Amino acid sequence: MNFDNFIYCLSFVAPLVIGIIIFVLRGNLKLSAALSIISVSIAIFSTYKIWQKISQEGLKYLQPHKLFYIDGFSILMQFMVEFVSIFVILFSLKEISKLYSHRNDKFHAYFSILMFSLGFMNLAFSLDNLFFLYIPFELSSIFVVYLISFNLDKNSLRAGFIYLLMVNVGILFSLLGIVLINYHTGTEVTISNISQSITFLNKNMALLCAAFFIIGFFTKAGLLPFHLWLPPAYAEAPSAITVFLAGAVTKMGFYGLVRTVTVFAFNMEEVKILVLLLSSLSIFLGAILAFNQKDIKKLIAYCSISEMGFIASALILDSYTAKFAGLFHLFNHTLMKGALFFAAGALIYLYGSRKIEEIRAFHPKAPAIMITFFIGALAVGGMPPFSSFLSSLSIIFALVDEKFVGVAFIMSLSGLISLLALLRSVISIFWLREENHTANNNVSLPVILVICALFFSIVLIALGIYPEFLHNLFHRATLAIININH
Amino acid sequence: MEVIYIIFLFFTFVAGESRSLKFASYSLIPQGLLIFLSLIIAGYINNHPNFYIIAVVDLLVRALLMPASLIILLRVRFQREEKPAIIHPLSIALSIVLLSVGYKFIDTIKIMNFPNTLSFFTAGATAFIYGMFLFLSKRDMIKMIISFFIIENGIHLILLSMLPNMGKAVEFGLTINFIVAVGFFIYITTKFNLLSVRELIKKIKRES
Repeated sequence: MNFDNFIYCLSFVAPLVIGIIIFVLRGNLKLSAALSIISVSIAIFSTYKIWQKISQEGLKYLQPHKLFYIDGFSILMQFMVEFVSIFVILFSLKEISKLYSHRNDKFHAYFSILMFSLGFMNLAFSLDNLFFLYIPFELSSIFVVYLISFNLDKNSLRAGFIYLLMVNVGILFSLLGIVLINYHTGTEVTISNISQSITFLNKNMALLCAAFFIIGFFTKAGLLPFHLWLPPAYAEAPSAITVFLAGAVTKMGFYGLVRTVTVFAFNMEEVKILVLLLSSLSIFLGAILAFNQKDIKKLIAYCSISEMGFIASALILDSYTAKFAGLFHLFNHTLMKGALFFAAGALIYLYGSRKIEEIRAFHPKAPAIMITFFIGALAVGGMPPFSSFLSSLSIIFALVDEKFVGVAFIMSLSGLISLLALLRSVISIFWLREENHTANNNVSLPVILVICALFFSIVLIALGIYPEFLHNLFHRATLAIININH
Repeated sequence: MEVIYIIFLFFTFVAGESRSLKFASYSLIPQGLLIFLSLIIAGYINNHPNFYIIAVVDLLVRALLMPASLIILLRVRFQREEKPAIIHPLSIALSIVLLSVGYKFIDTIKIMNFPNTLSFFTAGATAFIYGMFLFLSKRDMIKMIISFFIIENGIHLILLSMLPNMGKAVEFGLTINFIVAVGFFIYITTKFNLLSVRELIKKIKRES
């Protein structure tokens, strides 16, 4: 192995190795968090080196050892989960030490599992062979269940169980899809040859494979009708882990979707229509179901389902604009959910409840959190000047361009419903006062929690004003997707 | 071979429909043993020596380790199944229809669309579909884990019957995933059962 290849492998090797070290050392909270940050920093450095190589030399992809396939899309996904992980670690530092102090003997396991999950995700983003890719893909999902159930109460254990069962059974369908293609082509299916491989399939078999992949990756992404695991898992997990679920774990589903289903959709209109139907269902029902939630995290979770429908409907279209907008919205979704869930986490940290009515009773006085909530809510509604305005609008234009006006209409309407649902809760929490209740603001909010929440909001505004900053990254990721489709 | 598959499906049915969770968990042992046996025979008949290693791994994991961990798990909970989503007699009737008609139907599909698969494809696909039925109809945590076992065993047989020459690395990787997943299932269910038992003890103390 030459030095360059060693650097590239660090993106997944560092989190996995340091995850083992954290587990073996059984150190305290700060040591475990410090080691985790070091490992994520190494991973970011490694991803940056790959990005540098690809962008400077104008390569379409890197294939070290023929086992790996790293293109612009892999790099975008890696950067996204790595940056999310950094903030998840920082937020966890304060959150779990206060709210999960009964598990203080397992803090090392918390960070260790987080690193394993990140390592397996990065490995999945780098592999070429779909069979090999499936293994870390599934492992990264399995490990997260420990984090969802970290509280070890009945609700969190039940949420973890549903998650584990649904996601595991769901992604077994994608394994069936891989087996079917492999059987009919007689060769190993890889990301680089999947577009040629599916030409060997007759139409019915191709549709069956695509259906299997859709079931598998929609379940992983938490899209309707396979979303049942998502609201309880988001609600019961520690808030930092909810951000990890929304910003990294569900994104794995989109990674799988882009690598397989979009290739089928490029060749078969039926697949595109099926995905658009299911996405529209997610977009609309997600927003409707959000409206009556009394739990702040479940409210954001349902809005998230709706938002993810936007992404799926954009990524499945053929045009460059649609795919670019889909990827941009994928990134914006991470930012929006980061801002909203970190803000919700800060409120839970202060008042110890997820119920909107109970939080409201405390008369919260946390201006930074209030601002973050407002920004997050407006961004979910696709309002300017936030970056989600650009991505949502581009998706709507792309849908209209390809004559899917109905989906564009549902998307606009649902964005508005989500916005109303979120604004209603924000106004109710921060502005509506009840005579009978007395304010209780004795608990102070740690600066790090505010920084985590504000950072995502600031990036949402910054990218809305100056989107060119990440243009090259999204451009190369879009070209990478188009490259495997042809 | 046909007899082995029918016995395999019979134990699958017992694991799925037995009200006694202990009995259902024990039924997974012969199911795993029959997977072992069918792989050994298929390896010998079709000259696939890699099946022997996979069969040994299956014997250890699917016939011994995983069912044993489920049986140990049952020590800290009631051994009767929680009420399923559909009434038990109807569930039994549907299971029999699914397993018998499904087996014949899948066999026809296999002959038409997958002529080059090995003989245990039909049993695997039937187990997979039956596992999905259990997954949707059962509410008990242990029964849901058993349905996951059955789905996994079904996929395992489908995979090996369609791609007998697949690399061992992939097969071992998938087995590790299976072990890790079951490990977490058992971890969560154990913690859940312990909490339930503690709550019950508290309730009894309060009442007395």
